[in-house]
Amino acid sequence: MDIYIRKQNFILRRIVISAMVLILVIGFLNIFQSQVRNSFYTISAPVSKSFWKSGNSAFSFLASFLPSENAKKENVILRQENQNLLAQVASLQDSLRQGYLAQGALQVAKENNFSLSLAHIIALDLHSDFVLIDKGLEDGIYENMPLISNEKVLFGKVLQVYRNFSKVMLISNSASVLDVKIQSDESQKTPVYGAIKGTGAGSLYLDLVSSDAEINEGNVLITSALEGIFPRNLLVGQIISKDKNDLRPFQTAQVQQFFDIKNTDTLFVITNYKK
Amino acid sequence: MWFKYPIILLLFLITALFQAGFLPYFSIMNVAPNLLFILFFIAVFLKAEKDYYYEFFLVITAGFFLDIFFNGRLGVSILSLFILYLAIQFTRHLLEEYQDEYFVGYYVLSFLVCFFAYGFLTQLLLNPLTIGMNVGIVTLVQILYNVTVALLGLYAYEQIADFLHQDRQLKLL
Repeated sequence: MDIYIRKQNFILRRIVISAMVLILVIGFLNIFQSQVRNSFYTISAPVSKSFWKSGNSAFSFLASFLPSENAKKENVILRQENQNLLAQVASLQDSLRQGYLAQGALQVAKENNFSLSLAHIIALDLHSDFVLIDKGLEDGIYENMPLISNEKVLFGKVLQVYRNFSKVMLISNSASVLDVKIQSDESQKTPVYGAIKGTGAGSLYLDLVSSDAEINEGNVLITSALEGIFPRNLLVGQIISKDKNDLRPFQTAQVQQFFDIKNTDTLFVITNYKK
Repeated sequence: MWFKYPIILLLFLITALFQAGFLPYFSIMNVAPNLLFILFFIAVFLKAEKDYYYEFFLVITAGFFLDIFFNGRLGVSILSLFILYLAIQFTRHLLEEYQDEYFVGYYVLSFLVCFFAYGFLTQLLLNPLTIGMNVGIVTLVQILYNVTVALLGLYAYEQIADFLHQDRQLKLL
């Protein structure tokens, strides 16, 4: 009996000591969190980058063997879209020649004259939709700066900044919310606004769209800049199915996001955007 | 066996970098296996002899690498893994007699319980207000993908253990 109690005390003592050591370790890590993270990322960045590049190459190689049924369908859709866009471009060029939209177009060009800082992806956390990039405080990066691709597709915003690295929250993160404008085919219509919410695991949905607003599959979503973090007219996604219920004050929709993290290794941080 | 400490440190480091840099390309429905967690689970669950300091080292190392790449706050995974470690020890002690008989089933079940408990604990420590679970096709993919890799890990561990414990002493015929 005595031995049994002594053994129990020994185990209890060991757990208490371990818990104390854990508190010390966790306390230390949290006090020096920024330095610890930055040092670790600095040391591991070359290996991380090589893993990212080799992952990309391996994925591209394997993808070439996969059945191309989806690619064919996608190709048809893209061709149709391309034709529509070409028609729109022709129409816009015509309008521009007439000088009708010249002022507006110039304004848009001026508004989009972003100051960009190129960054490379080092690591991706698929579970929480975070990305680590190789630019930080020393490169003039600050929290809440938006990240886009060279096609002006919105990826997310800077969440935490370290000396040489930054953690980016993708718009698909479950804590991410941003205001968007729904682009309809008819430009005369009153613009419809909504909010894009992340659901995690790389997916999004559209919410807070007024129940009497008309939205359709295929409508493109662009940033509206209402939340003050993202500049307007950045591409976000496309509606793939809508969910309208008369019992609810707002309608929602499933969205196919435009950003494709697997096929991207370079992003641009907009460093000069202010509301 | 002092060298097992740097070996495990290196192993966890490479696994963390591999998981953050390479594995996202092989995700299914944006789900990739949590290799670091699987490695930790195998190391704790399948250990041959009791070595408390080594296991404590495993908790801190695996937790640190999980936090640095995959969590917003350092220490959350360390704490979660420590709680899980204690739970694993306790469960193993309770179910000692059934372990050999239904080993694979016992392993898979324990892994799944620990996997979801880890998710729950990290969520509880990071955002207690957003705790919830959406069970759907993604969860199923997550389970299947992680369990498959965990089983492959078990197989690999057994192969390595067999290789290391082979009796290589020369014997007189």
